[in-house]
Amino acid sequence: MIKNIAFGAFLLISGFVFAQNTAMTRAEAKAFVTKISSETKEIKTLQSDFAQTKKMDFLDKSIVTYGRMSLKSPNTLSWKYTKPYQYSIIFKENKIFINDQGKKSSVDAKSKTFEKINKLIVGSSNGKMFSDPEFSVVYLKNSSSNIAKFTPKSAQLLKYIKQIELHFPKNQSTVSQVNMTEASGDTTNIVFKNTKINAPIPASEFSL
Amino acid sequence: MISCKSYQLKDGKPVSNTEKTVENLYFSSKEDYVYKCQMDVYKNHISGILIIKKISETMHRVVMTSDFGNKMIDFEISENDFKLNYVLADLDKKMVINFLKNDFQELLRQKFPVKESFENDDSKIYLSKFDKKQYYLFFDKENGLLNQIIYTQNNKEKIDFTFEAKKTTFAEVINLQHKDFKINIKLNQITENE
Repeated sequence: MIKNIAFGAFLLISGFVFAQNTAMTRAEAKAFVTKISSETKEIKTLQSDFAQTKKMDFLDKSIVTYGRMSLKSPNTLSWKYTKPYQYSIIFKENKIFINDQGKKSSVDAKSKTFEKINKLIVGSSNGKMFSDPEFSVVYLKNSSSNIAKFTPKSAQLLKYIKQIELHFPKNQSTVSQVNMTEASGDTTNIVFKNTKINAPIPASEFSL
Repeated sequence: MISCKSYQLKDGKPVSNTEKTVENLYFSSKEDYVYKCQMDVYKNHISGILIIKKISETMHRVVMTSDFGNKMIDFEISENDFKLNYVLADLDKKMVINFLKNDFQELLRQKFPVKESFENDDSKIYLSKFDKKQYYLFFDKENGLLNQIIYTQNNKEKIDFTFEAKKTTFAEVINLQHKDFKINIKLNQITENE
């Protein structure tokens, strides 16, 4: 009996939490996409610190890594992990440069996985992702954020990823949080902090 | 060329057996073991995060993700069993999976019955045998910790495992070097294991 009450209470609470996100109306979604797309057109550079949290059902603790992201329009991107280890990846002039704890390498940007990562990060910062034909999008809102939920259309892409959620705080045109769910149900969550728009970025940030 | 000559223990003096069994306890705790992983397979460099977790008395779960967090391979492994839960299409090659299966079966092997014992200036060395497989386990004389396993088959050196540790159940740095193929795996602890 107590179990049932506890379970009922749990359902109620979780239902309440989930109920906070409500679907946008068609007009709201359109206004949101228009606003983000026009505002992000003005973005020439973007810098942000991030914390990445990986959750897997069999682990006791989440795995958290930290780093810094820098973006220069149209498609130069630096993604650097700084804690608890050093790993940098830079997308520049159709090449990918990697520094893995001192071990440097470069590859042509042909790899499908890297291409998708680049597209995802750059696309979510410039609003182009909303019109990506590979995904269907659902728009949600809560009291503090607008949320775009992307689901891959192709079975091919679904093998890698089940869903991507982008959170935009209501007073901000850039993403504050990305939640990715893999086909297995494992999640990766990236939270961006100290975001700077159009501040100059030293060239050294885009070299290893 | 990589040499294939017979492996012989250098400067180890035979001593009488004091132990019946020695153990590699570096994956024996039920805590999460999380490492930054760098693999060199011939000319390919693969980077990511490796998670090893003991899920039953005989079984470990092994998962490798990319640095971005997406899963690359996920399997359950024991001395006699292997169950592949997931593998990224790009890695789904029989050779790759067999290598990983073999390497992790050896790395996660816990109990080694002692056949012969040796000693040199720094280490107590135990020889263990299973059929054609022979293992030389080196324990530091000062702190008593396992710091190397040399795995041989038909007397040929196959894999050299080295460990850097401060306690028996957790190694901070692990190196796995194949002697017959250009395959190296380097693991560095990234979360505290308490």
